[in-house]
Amino acid sequence: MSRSRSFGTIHTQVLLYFLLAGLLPVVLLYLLTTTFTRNTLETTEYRKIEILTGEVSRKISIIMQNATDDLKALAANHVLFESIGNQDARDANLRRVHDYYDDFTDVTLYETNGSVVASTTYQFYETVEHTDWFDQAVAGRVAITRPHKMIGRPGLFLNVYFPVMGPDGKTSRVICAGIAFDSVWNSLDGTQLGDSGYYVLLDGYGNVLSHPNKNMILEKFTDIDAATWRNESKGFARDEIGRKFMYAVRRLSRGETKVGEPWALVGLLPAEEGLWVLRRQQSLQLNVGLIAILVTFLLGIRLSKMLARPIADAASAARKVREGRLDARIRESGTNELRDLACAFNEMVEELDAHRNHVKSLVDHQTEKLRRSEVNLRAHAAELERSNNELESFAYVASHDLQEPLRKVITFGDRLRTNYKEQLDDRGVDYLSRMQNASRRMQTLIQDLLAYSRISTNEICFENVNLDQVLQDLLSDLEVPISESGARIEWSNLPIIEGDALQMRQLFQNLLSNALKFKKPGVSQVITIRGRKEEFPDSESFYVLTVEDNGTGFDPKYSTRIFDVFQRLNSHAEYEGTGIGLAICRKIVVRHGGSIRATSSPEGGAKFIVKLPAARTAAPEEADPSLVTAESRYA
Amino acid sequence: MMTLLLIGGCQRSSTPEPIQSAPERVVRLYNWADYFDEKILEEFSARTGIRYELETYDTSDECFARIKSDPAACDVFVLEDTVISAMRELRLVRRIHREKLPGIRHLDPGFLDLEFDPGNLYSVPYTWGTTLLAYRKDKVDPKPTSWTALFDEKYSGQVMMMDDSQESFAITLTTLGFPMNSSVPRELESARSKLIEQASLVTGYSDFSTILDALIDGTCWVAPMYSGDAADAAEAHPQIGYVIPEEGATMWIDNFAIPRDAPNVDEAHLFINFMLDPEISGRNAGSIWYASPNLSARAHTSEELLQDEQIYPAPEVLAKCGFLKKLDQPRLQAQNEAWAEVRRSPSLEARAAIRSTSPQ
Repeated sequence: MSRSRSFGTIHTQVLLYFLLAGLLPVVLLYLLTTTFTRNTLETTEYRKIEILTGEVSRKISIIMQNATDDLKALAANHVLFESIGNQDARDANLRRVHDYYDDFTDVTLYETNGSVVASTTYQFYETVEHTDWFDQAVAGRVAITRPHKMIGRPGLFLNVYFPVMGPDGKTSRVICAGIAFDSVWNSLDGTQLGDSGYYVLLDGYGNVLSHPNKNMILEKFTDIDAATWRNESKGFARDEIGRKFMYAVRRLSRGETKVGEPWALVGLLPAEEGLWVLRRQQSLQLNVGLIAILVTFLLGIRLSKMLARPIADAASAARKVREGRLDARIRESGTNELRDLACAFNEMVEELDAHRNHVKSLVDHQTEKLRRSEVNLRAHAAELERSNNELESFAYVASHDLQEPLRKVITFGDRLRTNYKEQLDDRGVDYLSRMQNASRRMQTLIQDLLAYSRISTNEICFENVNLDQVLQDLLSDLEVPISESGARIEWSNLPIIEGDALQMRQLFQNLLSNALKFKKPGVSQVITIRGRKEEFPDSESFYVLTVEDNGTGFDPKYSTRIFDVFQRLNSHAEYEGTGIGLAICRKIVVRHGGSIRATSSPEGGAKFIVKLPAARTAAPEEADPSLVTAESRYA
Repeated sequence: MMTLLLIGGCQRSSTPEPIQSAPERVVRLYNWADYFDEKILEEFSARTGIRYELETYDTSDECFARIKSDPAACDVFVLEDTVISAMRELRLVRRIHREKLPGIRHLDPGFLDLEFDPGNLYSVPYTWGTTLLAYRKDKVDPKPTSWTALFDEKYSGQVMMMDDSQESFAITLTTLGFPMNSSVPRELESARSKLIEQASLVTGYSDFSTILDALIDGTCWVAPMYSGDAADAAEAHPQIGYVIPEEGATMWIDNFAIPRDAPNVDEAHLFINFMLDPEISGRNAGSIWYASPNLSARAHTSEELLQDEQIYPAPEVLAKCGFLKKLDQPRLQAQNEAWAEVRRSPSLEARAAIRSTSPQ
């Protein structure tokens, strides 16, 4: 989480802005200089072509002029008018004259009817009499042919037809001189168009007059798309296989060339080469641009770190603080703003630390107090337990030892009554009787007390106890009192529990006795005993036993007090009893890990509800609250 | 198509004349005289809506010189194989668009892809024939069977030759027993001497129609003549006979071709393809009395023409005939030299005299 990078981080954003800042000027500069350089280059190339075109036309003019002048001189030679001698002699004469004129590849002298008078070559293919230029020459005008090829000879040739005037002022013969057209071109060889650029001279019909590839001579010009160069005098065009060329066209007017239709000079430079300077400049710009971007990028990294690191440090420190390490501090460095931020943060943490220390000391103080109270409490509890144990032993011992003198009082009382009955008057007998009754009550009291204390002192012997069986045994023992009171006992669902059989019997006996005792006059007594199991999915299960009667009941406000030792809600006169029975009941239940409570309604009837754990758990050896109460009472 | 338009555009820009509003389609034809059935040309115009213009010539030199002077002078011309071959080398003809000429399939493959134009890239065969010997039946007896008749002093002043150095040289070489395409200097020299020697017998070196006229009016008794024209004349004038001499004769194929800078290239192709139609070709052949290389046209050709042994010679006769080969430089030079001399021979003046006194 802490190191995830997204557009959201300062780092990334700063980098992006810096990239943009670096890229934008580079791109702008690139586009601008590209356009500028390209225009410059193009203009330069076009200029070159124009200069060259001028050169070509000038050259052609000069050659034509020279040829015409030479022919004029040649025509003035008297040799040409002599028809004497045979063919060979005439040819020899002509060759001699021709030797003076280097520019002419060959010279032929015609009669005006087209038959050859003499020739230096005889390499012509055609008879001339049907050609336009011969007709022109016969008519007295100098005529120049368009460039043409000759059978068996490479290159192009021009022919100049020149009329030779006879003495009568009419054309008497025609001289035709051949000029190698290539000489025009060869003189321009020094003018290079780049390394692989070239010039093409075209006639008015788009036929190639000059081309680096000699096979193209007099073929249609197809190096670049004709539609392009005919419409635009300069620009870019593609050839048949898709290569791109820069081209420029300059047309030569007829006046300039004096030959046929207007010619065109096309300069072609492979775009690759033409724009080489541009490419180099572009690559240079790209490199510089890349370096610029790189530098900007690095600066961006530096700056973003400068900005982001303190913030990241602050975040890290804040996390430490959150984890409670209040010693975390931010380095107070960098720009003023960042230093301010760091100071504020550090101050905040210091304050937080001070607060925490204060709170901690408070808590420590309270904890110490609490600890001391706990120690006191433990001491008290131990003291209490000790005194409780003492009390129980005392109770046991006392009740046990108290019985002996009491028995003697009763025994001697009986003997007194039996042996000295006659010596006693009625009042004496009455006193004796009262004394014995009191003694017997005291005996009962002591026995109950003893029983009560035994429950605390005796070990519980846990075993499976069938409560149904326990109750049935008990009922058979209590058959007499039950039949005397006329009570009806009903029971159901009594479970088998793990517990002490004797104590369980005691529990039932005490509860039944209690129920039987508080009979409502004039009502047939019914006592219902039921058992059920309460199960809870997440905690232990309980057996719930209820003992319900329809007797006099009790005031609900005593529902807890009735389980205290010696608590009697009624006088001895109404109901006999020691006030220990229910206390014993509670003690048994508590020792089995359960609880007991009693409810009563104002209409009468009491209900005792005993809850016992279904699974055996060791009864907590806790201080018996009743005893505590007793103790406190004794105290 | 593109080129056509461009050339059109170029022409417009070079001429100040206003541009025609409705471009009328036209094809300009340039052919030997009497070498088209004009009814067929009219039919072409009627069918395609392309107007035709026809110009004719009498010698292949005339045609060659004309096209050399102006390679845009016409759209279609007809010329024999050797000249086509030279024009190819001189770059005066334009490549044919084969795909625009489906009718080529009708042509006899034996007339295609020959040495003068391998692959027929520049020409399409139109007719073929021989240059044979024409004579006056009433003057030459017995019937001549050899070219030697042209060199026979008996006929001095009654001999005419074609104004065609190559044909004349071939005839002379053949007469001397040399191959007609010989380049051997000694043989060429012999032929040259023989031709110069013959000049004294010759009344004129002329085009075929002048010779025909002379044959008809009887001023000429023996002369070389193109097979079809000889046959044509013989039909009208029974006293004229013609024969393929026993030495053999030159064979030629006349071809359609398109000059290099022809402005109406599409129309030219349409016309050539029209002429390749078997029915058209058959009728045309019957009209001009020349053999057609169009095999499919035979069904539409008159039986009489097909039966003419001088037009469709028997195989054994044809075996003696041959095509003229492209002129190479030494032969061209020898011919030109010889021809210059021949034309300047005294008989020329005589011919000029005949011409000037002639009523034509």
